[in-house]
Order: sequence, then structure tokens, then C-alpha cells
Amino acid sequence: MIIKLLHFFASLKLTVVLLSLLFALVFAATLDQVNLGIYYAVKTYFKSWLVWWVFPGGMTVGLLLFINLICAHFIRFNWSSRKIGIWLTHTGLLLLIFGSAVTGFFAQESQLQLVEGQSKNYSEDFIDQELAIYSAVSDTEDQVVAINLSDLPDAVESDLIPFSFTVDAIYMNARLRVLSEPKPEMTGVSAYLHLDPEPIDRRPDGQNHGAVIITLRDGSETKTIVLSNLLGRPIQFGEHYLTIRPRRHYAPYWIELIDFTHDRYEGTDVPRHFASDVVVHDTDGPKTYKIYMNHPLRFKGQAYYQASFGKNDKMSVLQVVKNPGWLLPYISCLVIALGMLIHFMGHLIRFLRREHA
Amino acid sequence: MKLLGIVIVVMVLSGCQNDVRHYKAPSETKVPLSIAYLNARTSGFTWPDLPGWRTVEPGSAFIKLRLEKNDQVLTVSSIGGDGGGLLRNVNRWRGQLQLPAVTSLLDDVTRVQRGHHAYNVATLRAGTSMHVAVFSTPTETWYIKLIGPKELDLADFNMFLTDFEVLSDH
Repeated sequence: MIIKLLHFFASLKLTVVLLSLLFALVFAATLDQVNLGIYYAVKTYFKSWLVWWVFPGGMTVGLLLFINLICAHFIRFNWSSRKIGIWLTHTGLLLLIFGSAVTGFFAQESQLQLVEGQSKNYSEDFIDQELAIYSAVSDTEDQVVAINLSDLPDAVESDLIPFSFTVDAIYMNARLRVLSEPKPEMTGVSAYLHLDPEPIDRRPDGQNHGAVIITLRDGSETKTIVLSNLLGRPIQFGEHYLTIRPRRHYAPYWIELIDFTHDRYEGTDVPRHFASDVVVHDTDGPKTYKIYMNHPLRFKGQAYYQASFGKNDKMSVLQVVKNPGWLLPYISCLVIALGMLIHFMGHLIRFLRREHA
Repeated sequence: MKLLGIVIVVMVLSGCQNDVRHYKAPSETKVPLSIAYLNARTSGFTWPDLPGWRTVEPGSAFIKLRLEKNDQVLTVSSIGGDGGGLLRNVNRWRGQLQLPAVTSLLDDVTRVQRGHHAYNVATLRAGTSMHVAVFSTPTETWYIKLIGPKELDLADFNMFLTDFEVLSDH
């Protein structure tokens, strides 16, 4: 039974079927990207086990290809010195598939916006928004409890916050309007705020403004509040502050933007070069770096790329990428190239020997 | 079977969401030097007393407060946006003290961390000395500047900074 299973998973027919499925996924995702936007297209077609509940997703096809290649190594491939090149090439392919899985599961992309003179120790997610509840635990630190807006349950009770709350409404994207008359069911600023739901903006540079209406309960005190990331400030409830904001990814160091430069071609508005001079404030002292195109800052497992700018060239936008598998594609390409070189050199040498003979 | 087990674990793990995250982060609640919040409520705000210093008419729309004591002057000013950038301002102050311009801030500027707000302090020494705390927010930049003789007494300056309190209300 096991032998039959192994032969099945090692079969070349399976390889052809899986590659055809992969081709179909890429084709469908490319077409649907117009509707879904690139992030949701990748999530729907490639970072899923099933598409539309019936078609294998990218993770299923990738895993089966990985198993197929491993089984083929041990069942179908003949071990001989003449096959070293083929063996190496397929090992490189295995590394490539494994690397894509590591990237898919563990990579994280976010952005860091800094105005000249400003410093931050966190970057903000492009897509995920969070409800953050924080309170001071010392003069320098807050205890933060954060939940993704998309994962917010109907009711929340936690040992880390001394009150409970129920979620009356969640909006992944909503406009905020200020009313002239307060709503009777609310008090304070929230009574003057109204949310108008909007469809999710799936464009690559689209911005979604999440919002919630929640009812807080602390003993006898009950309060219904409106939270929106358009508010620009937190709402206080007792000793705690609540806010909706892009999900934050904290780093154990601060990055400060000293200067942003933007050169244009003479007499035009066409950008020629833009760069950020930053100082990284870490435990072992400040270090200066220049970030510009094709020259990211790689620091403690994160890469900071110069992505964009704004505010009349006073703000720099850095794309922050954390990918523990970033080297694997390079290594796998080297292994594949080496394997192909050995294989074709072997063929060439044998051909020349035959000719000579 | 082992392989199937690994597959199932991977599938389950990939479906797990990190629902509730809890961590400690630099303070955003206790920000004794958050002048940006005060800017919105200057009509009801009382500047902290600095014993021995007298309040003088600012004489400029940008200067919110001017205090003098003997040969030292302390001013609080704000400007929209980034005020031209830290490097440009440091070179402007260096010019005022007849010092040459610089291309790097590392010798003149120190970063100070107080709670969530980190701010820059520029210290420039010539015949006259200047000590400037620069607070940047996305919408404006604030300068608390002390000008005086070569050896500045920073005790009152630091006390002035720490006497600010942020009062947030809802």
C-alpha cells in the first residue's frame, strides 16, 4: 500500500497535472487581479488550500509538487555520477518551492512613514487594521492589547483589560461624519460621530479606514463609543485608551529620518534619484545609513526599501520587509544553475570524447 | 502516515490566526512633553511657572512664550510642517552663532527618549550658546530654545520641559 502510494506521488503524470493546475491558478489570478487587487488575488489563489471550495489552491499544489519531487528523487531517479547534474537541479527546485512556502508563511510587509526629524520604532501594515487598547504600566511603557479588526469577536473579555466590551458594528472601511445634533444613545464625542460604510478599496494604493461601534462595561459603568482610524486620537475609558489604527509591527530599535532628498532631471519633474538619510538608534549607539533605490537598509532581519515620498519632499515612505527566507531563492537559483552546468558539461565532454574516438 | 500528519499540522497552523496580541510598547499615555496636544488647547492652557524667570512679550507670531533671567532667554515657538528640516535649522542656528554650516547632525544633535515621544536636542557652543529641544509631529514642529552665555545652566531648562503634563479628555 505504502509502495503504491509512493509510486503514485513520484509519478510524472502527477507532475504534469500539478503543473497544469499551477498554470490555471496563475492564469485565473492574473485575470481576477483586476477585480480583487494584487493583495487579495494572492491571498485567494496562492495563499489558500482551496479556491472556491473545489479547486486546489496554491498551497495545496505547492505542497503536492514538493512531495512529488521528493518521492521522484527516491523512486524514479537513478543514482549515478552521470545524473549528479539532474539531481542538483531538482534539489534546487525543491529549495525554491520550500523557500516560497517559508516566504508565504512567515514574510511580513509593512510601511514606515517618517517626516524629517521624526522617529518611530514600528512600521504599519498595509492591509490589517487593529483595535488597540493600551494603558500605562510605567512612565515609559504601556501594556497593549491588540486585535485585528477582521478577527474581532462579538464580545471580548480578557485578563489583561479590567473591562469587557461587546462589538455592535464593525466596518472595514467607513467615512466619518460629524453630526450637528448628538445621538441620544451615546455620550461625549461619539454622540456627534456617524459612520458611513464604504466598500473595501482593493486598489494597490487604496486606503481603508476601519471603524467599530463598541459598548464598554466596567462594573456599573456602560458606555457606547465610536472608534475610527480617521479620528486621529484615542478614546479614553478610565485608565485605558482605545484606538483603531493600522496593525503595528514593533522593532527593538528606533529609526529617525534626518533628511530626505529628491533630485529631478534638469528642467523636468521626472525623478532622478531619491534617498533617505536615517539614523538607527539601537542599544549599541546610533548608526547612520543612506537608503535609496536598490540599496535597502538591512538591519536585524528587516529590510527597509525606499518606496515613496510625500509632503513636498519632507516625508519618506519606506517599505519594510521581514522575510526569513529571503536568501533561499538566490541559493536555489545557484544550485539549479550549478546542476544544469554540470549536466550539460557532462554531455559536452562525452560528445567530444565520442567525436575524438 | 507521518507525512500525512505533518501535512495536517501545517494546514491547521496555517489557518491559525494570532487573534489577541499583547505586548509592552513605549508609552503613548504618559507624554509629559507632548506640546502638539497643548497646541490645540492654548486658550485654556497655563504655561508652567519657572521660578526666577520673568515673562516678556514674545514680539513674534511664531513665539508662544518668552522668558528671561539674567543673561539667559528661553523661548517656545512652533511652526507648521517640519520647519524646513532639522539640518537646515541647525545650520541656521550655527549661522546665528557665526559657526560654519555642517552636513551631518551627529556632532550637534542628541536624541532624547521620554516615554513615547523622542525628541532632538541641538547644543551649539560659541561665544553665545544655544540649547534647543525640537519636537516634531506630522503637522508642526515645536522649538524650546535656551540662549545664553557659553556655559548654559540647563537645570531650569530641564525643569521647564518636565513640568509639562498632557491632559487628554474625552
